[in-house]
Amino acid sequence: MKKTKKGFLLLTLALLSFATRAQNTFDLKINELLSNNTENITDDYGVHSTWIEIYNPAYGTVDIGGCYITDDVNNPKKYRIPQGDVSTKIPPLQYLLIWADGIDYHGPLYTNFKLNANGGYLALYSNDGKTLIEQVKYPALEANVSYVKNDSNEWEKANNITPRLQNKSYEVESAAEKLGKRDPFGAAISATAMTVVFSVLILLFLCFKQLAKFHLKTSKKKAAEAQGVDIDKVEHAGEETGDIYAAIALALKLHHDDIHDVEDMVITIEREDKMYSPWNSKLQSLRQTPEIRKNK
Amino acid sequence: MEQGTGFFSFLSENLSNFWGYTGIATATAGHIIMILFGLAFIYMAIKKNWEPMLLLPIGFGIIVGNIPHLASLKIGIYEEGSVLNILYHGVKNGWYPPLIFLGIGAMTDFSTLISNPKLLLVGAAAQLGIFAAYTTALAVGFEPNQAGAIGIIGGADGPTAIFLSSRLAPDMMGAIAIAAYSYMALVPVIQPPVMKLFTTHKERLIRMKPPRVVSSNEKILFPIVGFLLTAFIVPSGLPLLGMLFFGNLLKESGVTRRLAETARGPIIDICTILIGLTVGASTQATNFLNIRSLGIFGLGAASFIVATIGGVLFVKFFNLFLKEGNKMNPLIGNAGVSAVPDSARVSEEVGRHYDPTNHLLMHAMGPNVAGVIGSAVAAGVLLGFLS
Repeated sequence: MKKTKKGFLLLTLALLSFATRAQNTFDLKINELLSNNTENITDDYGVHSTWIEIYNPAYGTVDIGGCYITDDVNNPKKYRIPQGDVSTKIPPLQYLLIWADGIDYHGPLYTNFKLNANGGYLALYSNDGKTLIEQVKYPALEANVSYVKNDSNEWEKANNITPRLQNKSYEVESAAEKLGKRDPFGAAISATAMTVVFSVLILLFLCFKQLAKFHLKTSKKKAAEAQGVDIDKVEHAGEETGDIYAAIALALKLHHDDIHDVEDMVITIEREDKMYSPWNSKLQSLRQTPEIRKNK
Repeated sequence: MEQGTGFFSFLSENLSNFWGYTGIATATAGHIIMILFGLAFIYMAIKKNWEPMLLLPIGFGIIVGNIPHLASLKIGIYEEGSVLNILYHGVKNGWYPPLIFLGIGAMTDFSTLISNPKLLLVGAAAQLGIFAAYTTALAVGFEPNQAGAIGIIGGADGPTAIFLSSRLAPDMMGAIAIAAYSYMALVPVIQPPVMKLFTTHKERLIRMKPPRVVSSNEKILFPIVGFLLTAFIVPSGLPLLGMLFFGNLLKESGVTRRLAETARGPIIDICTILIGLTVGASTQATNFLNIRSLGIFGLGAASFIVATIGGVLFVKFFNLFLKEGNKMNPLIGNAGVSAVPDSARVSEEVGRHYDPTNHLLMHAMGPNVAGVIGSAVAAGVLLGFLS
């Protein structure tokens, strides 16, 4: 029975780890490609090779090693990205460039095919060579024009080539710039922000006003129970201010000081009261002290 | 003989090289002016007792940051890997302000606010200064993100100002932090004239109902409910609001006394030292002594004044709807600009000037802590819009 449980546990763990891995590689995206490279960046051999950019949008490192990349719709296993190389690991939210130079022995990130400047097909398959991660059909591209995925997840041509960078990183206006154009005097944002600040604090105000009401009601109820009267007859319970509490505390202190009889260096006249029992009586348990009789 | 000459020429050459490395040889007028600034801060901290825990580290930091040295030594705050640079990461990446907020939460008693929740609205009204400075900064030519970072000076909250400026305008963070802390130190100088100008003698004598005693359940619920409400509406304020309310929960829960003591003791002290020193050191003559910094200081002062006016006038406006006996003294309106607890102390002092038996401190602590929440919310809103 124990063995079955252990086996089941191991199987679950194995499945989980597989699922995690599969899920990780499925996160990968083909983000940009350049099929006609004449003036853009060069590969490690100084050649203007075509390239494919893969993006890892996950918050964990993903190893693309073992996955397949192809330009042939009928041959998903055309190029297997070698496993076990550190260069195939893509850190979270980072990009990896794969050179499509047609010479696979150039390294793990060099495919055995080139991208076609007249357009073509590109796909990324999982490490089983069957499960499609992503595919794209790209059109004929002019020299040094890339094919990129935009913010809406749609493919488009781009003159601004961004290898290993977020697409359109240089074209996108910052939120502040956009806002500056739409609201040059800052009136709208000021009004909106003040409204938000007031709304939040009004909400807190209402919430704690209700809470205070509930607190007062509970206090009155407790006071009524303690006094044995009707709740309507109890007034100001729970509304006591700090000075009332201070006065009560002082009165209690004085009261305790008055009745306090055991105090260092204070002589008390109060009789010591001890529970008597024959078992703890010294008189019963001790031998009587012999009397000393003096001869007259 | 030749050997002797060679030795002396070698020695003099080395000494001459060494002279070239010294701060005396490489100092510029800018360095000297900045060092004088630092000394002025130290003077204000020690002799005037103005926010000494902030102005002293900042003042010394200014001196540290403006000791001239060669960049090749890799010891400056902007040189990657230097000790100061590593400590500066806490400012640049916004680590210290939330930790300081944790300590503030653990030392803040929200009782006055809970017993009289309408004081929350005074804290909201005083944020007007932030947006007045924002619009003015835009009008004088600052970019929207820079204007947002300048505007937050009006929130009178140093950690919030550093947090927001590190996100929106990192290059202006030094000047903004210095302006924010300077004006916080100058609260007793800036606010009283404004408070007197916008109130009548009769209003200054208003006695407020003493706050009721708040139950421990209410105190525990405040940080939880407060956090949920504010964070859901302004998630961008999460680092500041989350830490503020978490710190307060540590204090009020009654079961994490040691954690609360650590938060309001060692953690806040360490962060205050580091933030003060590194912010001071980041203000170097080359990026501080310019017209832009003057603009930041001018706008900062204006935002403080507007924030004070906003708080005072809002109390007067609110009084129109309150019954006799429930009215608020407008002199507590200034405390909405956070600057805990200095602005509340100003309310007390100005109030006692007109009626020595009228103590406003406890009442002013309400808008004061509401101002902390308000400025954190305002910072969150600006961050959401502008980043």
